[in-house]
Amino acid sequence: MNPQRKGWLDWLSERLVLTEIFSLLVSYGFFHAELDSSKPPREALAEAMARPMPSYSAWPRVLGLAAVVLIGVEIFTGGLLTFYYSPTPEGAHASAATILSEVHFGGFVHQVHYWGAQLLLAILALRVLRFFLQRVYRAPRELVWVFASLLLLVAFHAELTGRILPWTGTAYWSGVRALEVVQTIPLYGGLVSFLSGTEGAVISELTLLRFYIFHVVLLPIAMLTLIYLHFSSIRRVGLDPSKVRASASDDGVTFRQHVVNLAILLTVLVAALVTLGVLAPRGLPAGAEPYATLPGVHPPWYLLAPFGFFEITASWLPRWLAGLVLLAATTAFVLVPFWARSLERRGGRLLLMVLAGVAVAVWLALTLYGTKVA
Amino acid sequence: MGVRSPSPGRLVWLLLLAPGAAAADEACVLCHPAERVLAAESIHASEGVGCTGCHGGDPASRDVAAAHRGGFQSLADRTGVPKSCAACHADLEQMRPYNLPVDQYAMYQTSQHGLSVAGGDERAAVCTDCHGVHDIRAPDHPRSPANPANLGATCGRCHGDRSLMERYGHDHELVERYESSVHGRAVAAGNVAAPTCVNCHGVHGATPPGVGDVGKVCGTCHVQARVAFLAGPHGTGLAAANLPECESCHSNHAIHPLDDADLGSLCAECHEGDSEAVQVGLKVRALIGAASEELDRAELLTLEAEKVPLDVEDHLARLGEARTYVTEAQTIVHAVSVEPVEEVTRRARSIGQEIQHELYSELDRTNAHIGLAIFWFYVLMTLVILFGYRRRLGRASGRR
Amino acid sequence: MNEPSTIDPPESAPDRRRLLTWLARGFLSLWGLGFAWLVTSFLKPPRSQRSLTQRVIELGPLESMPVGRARMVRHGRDPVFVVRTDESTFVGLSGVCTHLRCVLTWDEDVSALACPCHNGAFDLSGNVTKGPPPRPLTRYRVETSLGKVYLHL
Repeated sequence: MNPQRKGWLDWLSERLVLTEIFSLLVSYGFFHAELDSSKPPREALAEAMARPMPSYSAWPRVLGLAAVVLIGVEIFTGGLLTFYYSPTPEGAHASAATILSEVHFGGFVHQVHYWGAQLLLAILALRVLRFFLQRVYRAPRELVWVFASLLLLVAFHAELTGRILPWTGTAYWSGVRALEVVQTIPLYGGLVSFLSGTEGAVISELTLLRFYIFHVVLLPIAMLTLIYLHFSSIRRVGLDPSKVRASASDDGVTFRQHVVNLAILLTVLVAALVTLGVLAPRGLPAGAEPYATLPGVHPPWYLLAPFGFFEITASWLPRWLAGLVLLAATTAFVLVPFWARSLERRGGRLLLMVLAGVAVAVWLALTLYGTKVA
Repeated sequence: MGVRSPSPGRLVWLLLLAPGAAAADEACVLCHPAERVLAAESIHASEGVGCTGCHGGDPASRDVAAAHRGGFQSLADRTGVPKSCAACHADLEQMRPYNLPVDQYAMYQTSQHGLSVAGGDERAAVCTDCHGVHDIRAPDHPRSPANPANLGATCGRCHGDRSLMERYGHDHELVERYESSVHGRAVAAGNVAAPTCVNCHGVHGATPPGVGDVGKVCGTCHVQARVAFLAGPHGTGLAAANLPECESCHSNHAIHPLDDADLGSLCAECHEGDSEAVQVGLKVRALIGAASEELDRAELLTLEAEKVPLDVEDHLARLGEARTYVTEAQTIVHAVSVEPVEEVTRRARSIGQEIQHELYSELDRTNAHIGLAIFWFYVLMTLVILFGYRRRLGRASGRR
Repeated sequence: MNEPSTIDPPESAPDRRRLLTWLARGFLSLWGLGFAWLVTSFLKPPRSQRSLTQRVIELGPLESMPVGRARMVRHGRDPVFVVRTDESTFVGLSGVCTHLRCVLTWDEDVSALACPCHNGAFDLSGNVTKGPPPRPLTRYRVETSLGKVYLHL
């Protein structure tokens, strides 16, 4: 196009402070360069586009980018679903059925939302695992780990609150099982009970509404905030454990290349979600019946291990103590950077790896046990 | 005290006793407390009919001999009971305010029970056997033995008594069979519209319906079936052969609803195994069976679709309509003719096929799979373009 | 994936290259088009407004229902008969026989609902007048407002 001709960018630039808007995106971490406000916008944008930045699209860094893209997909599809969903015990199941059976593309949007959530959890978990194996928790990357692990925990909460919303029998009882587990944790369990308006593990209509608010407002805000902090930390220290600081020349991609990579990633992820949604659609079981316990309903898969742990210790460990153990384990997980280093120094890397291996093995065994007893 | 008794003899009694009528019964109570307790629960007690209403005697007297004088009847001879009850219950004037019929006694006298009693048989049923002795309640009272829900047991008290029935050469298992029948089970399940013993045998004029009358009795409820039956060859054929109508296939007391599957074999019980009549039965059975199967398949499919979920309410409504046709066909069967059954079952079948056809196309995932293939074509094309662009950018930055 | 791409033509053919660039852009904009189509059709309220939670059904203008006639209304899986008995009175009755769940038919000659299966009959109050049905029919409220008839379920 003709650079002399005034384009829409110039037209806008005369009426808006474009750099401010750009700065917003930059500060969120989508871009890595400020727009030079002294130059004409087109030129400044071209310059910004050509500026080098670290490549986030190479394996295994691409996981972070994929998580952001998936959160975007979840927010978008979730936003669409709110147009029909009604968070009342009377209307929830009926509105979910309406979305699935009557609204155009309703089933499609629902499937993409569901599978997006599963994929997001898997990617966030994988990411934490790779941080651990590649030791992206050593100084100065402690906060990268903390935010990443917190992001995973918040994502679990988002999935848990989301799975109750269709108010199907399985969703309801799965939610009850999950609350049973969560409520045994000291302090945190009490907080959850208080916030969700539950007494015991009884899920009231208040619970549904509050879970809804958590799912569509509070938890997404928490996730976006964590991502922001996480990105901010990464921008400062980078992800390469061999270097102390982030440097722009890491892989030498330009910002323009980064955008193309982002588009490719988006295409691949959307394709994956659509394929999963079409080939393995989630049906809508019958509505919830709070007065009839459904047999064989498990807590969600990520709570099976705590559930199994409570079952196995039920006879010899007070429930609050078991909850305390769970709380300690979770805290230890989030605070890995602050104790792993000294452990490494004392016992070497092997000890830490063995410890982690044992932790994962115990988790898997408890999950298996939880599946059996649930 | 409601003195509603204009009959002269009773009137005298009541006038004499009027000031202390309640106290008057108490004199009987002195020796007959148990009977008094039972009588107090009866409908007679609230209408002022005391001991003397049926038994006579002098209720004021505390002397045993004096009390049992003056028109006293012990009614220990059961044959006297009907007449005693009829003294009031056959009297139009006395029954008018209660809007009760007065022909029970007359009907009773025509019944098998009444005839036996008139012949001096003490064991035949009298009023008290079905209505209670002292605790006579209105038949709509849940504890009345004459209540439809209790009637099977009431009749069964005698008709299920083997030694008693053997004297008369009667079958003592009739009541048992009735209770296992579709009617008996409906009554047990609380359907007050379902027939009890009296609906077929008559209430007070209880007599087994004659061979020729069975069909009429059944037809009072099963109108449609009887109309179809009479129009068909069985209607005239069975009458000519002096065979009972409904009973021939359905039996009498154990009435079990016949399964569609019974149709062919049932025909062969009377007709030659390879005769045209059996062929008709088999044809009808095939028609109804095919329609039912079609609807079963459609129903399974709607259940499957409901889980997806698809909107199947309209399909379920039409399924209900089609099931109506099948039930209708099961009635029309009594005309033992293929054409009318064919007509009705064809409608049911076509609805079933329609539902299946619609649901299959809605459940069909081929369209989704074709869509997915097209989608993937777009995805791959897009990736080709984007990767090409990326390569060009890489080369451009490499040259720089 | 790394096959020669459509937008990487030989340098000697700038016209063809521009054409291919435009083709690629056009192709990519199809995504936007499809996306916009998906969102707009999602937001368009579904065709059938009836759902189980809906408790009032509009039956149309008063004139559409002549006196003495019945109309079978399907709501959900069970039919309902709405009969106009006189100028201002409507009766709503379940259309399913209480005996074996056959669908009833309206007998205009005697103003009653008849069951084709076992000859059960119900009067306009829903009472059983004939045959095996054990229970009366469920009655529904029918109201008229501003010249229109509404069935309350």
